[in-house]
Amino acid sequence: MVRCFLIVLLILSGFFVKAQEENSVIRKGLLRAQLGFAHGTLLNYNSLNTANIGTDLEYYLDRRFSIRSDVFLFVDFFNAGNNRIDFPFVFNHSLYTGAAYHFFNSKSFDPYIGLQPGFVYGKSNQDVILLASSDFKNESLNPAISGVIGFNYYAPKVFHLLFNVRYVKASIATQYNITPIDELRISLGLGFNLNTRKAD
Amino acid sequence: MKRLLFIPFLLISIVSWAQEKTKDNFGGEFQLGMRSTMSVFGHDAQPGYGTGGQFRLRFGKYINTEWFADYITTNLGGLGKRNDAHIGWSVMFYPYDSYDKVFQPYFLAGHCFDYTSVRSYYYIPTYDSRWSSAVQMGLGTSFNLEVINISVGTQYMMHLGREIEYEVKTNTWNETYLQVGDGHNHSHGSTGLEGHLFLTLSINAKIADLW
Repeated sequence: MVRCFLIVLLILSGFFVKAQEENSVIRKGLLRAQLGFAHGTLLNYNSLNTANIGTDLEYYLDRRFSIRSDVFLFVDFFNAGNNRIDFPFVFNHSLYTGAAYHFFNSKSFDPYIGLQPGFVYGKSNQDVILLASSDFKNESLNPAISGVIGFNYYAPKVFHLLFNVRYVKASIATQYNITPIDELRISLGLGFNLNTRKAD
Repeated sequence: MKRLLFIPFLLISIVSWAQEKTKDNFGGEFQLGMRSTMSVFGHDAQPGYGTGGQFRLRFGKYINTEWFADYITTNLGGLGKRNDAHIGWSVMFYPYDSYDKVFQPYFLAGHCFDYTSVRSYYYIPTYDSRWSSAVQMGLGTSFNLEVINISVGTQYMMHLGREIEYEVKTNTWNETYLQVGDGHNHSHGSTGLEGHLFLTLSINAKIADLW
């Protein structure tokens, strides 16, 4: 009796997973994008926060793996860059490109982890403080690496909510110093998604 | 009648076998990816960190090629910085039949062009830069996850070009600083070999099968 029950359960769960794959928007060919808000804290400094507008574009190569690019534009909401001499940079924009692994097969809940090398384009505040001169070039393009963990929650058709936490390892190396700007960044946003392929 | 039905099945199996057979060159796989690099040692005591990208074009079961570009920044003890930019290519050789295996170890060797600049952070800043050519060789492994592969590798890169001379000095106020060249932005470095070890971590997506 128990054996029969287990067999029926296994068969049903198989049907259930198959049905989920067919109905789910989360499958090969899914293209998603978002525009959201990202709030960060600088890890090399005490109590210094950042605000960014973040956008990303992601394409699912299959149910498990996707390639994605993220762009963050620093927004001086806290009026930090120009007015506070303890703030390490005037601005800090970034681009990351890499891949993400999506953990499990659910119709709408899509947790993932990703790794993205990238670049930071920043303007250091430190040069201005130390050298008090406008002759020095204190903007520079710098390599960076970023790890991200989070989830998307898909509505039935074309929208999804997203939340992720990102660790950024970066520094701004200008002509006269190197300013570390490691950051923990939390993103929240509303995304748009589109299936570019029919379900198999 | 049964024999007649058997013939199409036989033909289908022969056709499918023939299709597999024509793919035995395993070439044409095109991958596109990003990578992070760490320049572990060489002239400098501290590692440099970089970001780059590459594409891979496979020519056979055992042969792949990698075409890459990197940009690396090294903090010279807070006294200066060094930037390296590489653009080049490598041939990857897989010693084992690992085409559809998870672990795909490989050797690689290749060539690149690079631009290096070194700048001190002293009150009187000194600076030097050069173009050079390099050869590299190393080993690594790819973790093949079907549509994605993650590769870790190490390679030794040997630059042939004019050396950029820089050293840490102490001034009369006992402050340490980095002097690049002769301290007057004049280049006196001689042509020679300069090597550094590279660690790379890359993520590659299989984009297309070109032939």
